[in-house]
Amino acid sequence: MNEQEWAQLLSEQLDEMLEGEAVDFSTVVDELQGPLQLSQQLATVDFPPSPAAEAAFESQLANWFGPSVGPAFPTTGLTKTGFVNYAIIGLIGVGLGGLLLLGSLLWSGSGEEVTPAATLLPTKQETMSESPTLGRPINDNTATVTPMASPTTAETVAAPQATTSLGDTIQLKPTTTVSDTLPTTTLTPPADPLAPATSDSDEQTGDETNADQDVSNGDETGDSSETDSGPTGDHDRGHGNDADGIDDDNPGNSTGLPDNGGGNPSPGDFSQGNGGGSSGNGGQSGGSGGQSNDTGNGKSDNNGNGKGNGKSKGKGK
Amino acid sequence: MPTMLTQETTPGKTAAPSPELDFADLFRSYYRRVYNYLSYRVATKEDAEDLISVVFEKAYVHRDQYDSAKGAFSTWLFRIARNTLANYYRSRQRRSTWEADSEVTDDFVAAEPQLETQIIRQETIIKLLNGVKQLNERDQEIISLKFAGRLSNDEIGQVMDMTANNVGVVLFRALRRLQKQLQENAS
Repeated sequence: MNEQEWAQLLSEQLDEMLEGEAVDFSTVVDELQGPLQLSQQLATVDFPPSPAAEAAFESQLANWFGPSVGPAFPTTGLTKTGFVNYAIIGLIGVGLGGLLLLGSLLWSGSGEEVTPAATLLPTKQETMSESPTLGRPINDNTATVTPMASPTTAETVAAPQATTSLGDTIQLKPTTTVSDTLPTTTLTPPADPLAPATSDSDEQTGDETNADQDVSNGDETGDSSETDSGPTGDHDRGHGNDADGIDDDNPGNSTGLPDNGGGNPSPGDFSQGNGGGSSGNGGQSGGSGGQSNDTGNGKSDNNGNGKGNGKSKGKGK
Repeated sequence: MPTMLTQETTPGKTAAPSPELDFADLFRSYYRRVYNYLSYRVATKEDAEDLISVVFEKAYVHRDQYDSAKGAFSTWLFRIARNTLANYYRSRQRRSTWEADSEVTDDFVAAEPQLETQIIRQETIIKLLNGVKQLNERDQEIISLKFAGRLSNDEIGQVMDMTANNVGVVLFRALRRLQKQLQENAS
């Protein structure tokens, strides 16, 4: 072998050695033993820079290229404590991620269930209708109860009057008193000489929890499909057309005077609150002397089982 | 780019950085190798630290001139370091610090578990480096680039404008001369 071949062989072994591979000197020819041993010693020489020089270099890099994106110098590896810490952090992260995923799934699932929220609305109105003492203008049918008696004293409800479209005055007979907790005034109207009254398509589809009282009036026969026989007069005082000037639609604003619209059935259209406002209070209206006594031409969808949808679309004229 | 760094830190590999972020990482990955090369070639640690800041400042200023098609980043950077070292020699009216009567510091050997072993290794390395500094300038340069800079023969050839085969031959001769020198010093 000439010198160039020896040099080539030495260079190959040097490259392997510098890449970290161990040199087996037993297989090395004598010609290269000395150079390889010197090379191994030279390869171990390392001049470490001072920490101050490294910090200055990092500062210089930060000035040139911005904040550091990685460690200045490679680390040799994780310690056991560091590995355990990273493992714990990783597990916590995975757990939190799973919880977030589960939460998002539940959230999306609950969102789908809430979609038919319209069915829940009547329930809320139903609850409100059971507290007439609050005096809140919940709807028109509530107005039939509130102004008639004081919630704190029990007194006999004065016999109200109702005026029909024909000008007849009807004396109503209150038979019970209003208690301080839950007014259950029951007004028994005398025989209605004018029934059936006229009422335009009073569609009571409200959630009438007290609809059994409506049934007791015998006028609403459940799923009635009463056809409109045509308007015979303005019997709907829920529109504020009643003569006493009291807003039947808004009993909360009533003066408390005997109100034909509030709890007093009127012949003809007994859909107090004109239906348009009797949202889901068919039961209350029934409890107020058969206010939802749609024996007229109003079309009532109230089937009397207390499951209306809280909408009354009467259009009294 | 970690992949690029891994390649660049291995002798003989090439890469083509262009964004500034790559330069920052490359500077960081080559810092130790350039510093080791300069420490081989200058007398004191302070000089090496001064020179390395100058080297990377030049590299930063002229980074736009680097063309990956013309060569590896390692050869470009070590060429800057070599030129900086030449300017350093000229400013000090010296050819090489290895010719000066400089003392070798004792922090160039990796720590050994036993103190006795550590001392023996330090004495061995000091003799070795003192033998290297008795070599001619080109031998010193090739040995420094090979063992301190961890460059391949191809890269050394590009830095010194030589062929890889010629580098191999010169290196082989330099090691044989160093072996002979150490034997003479021991005797």
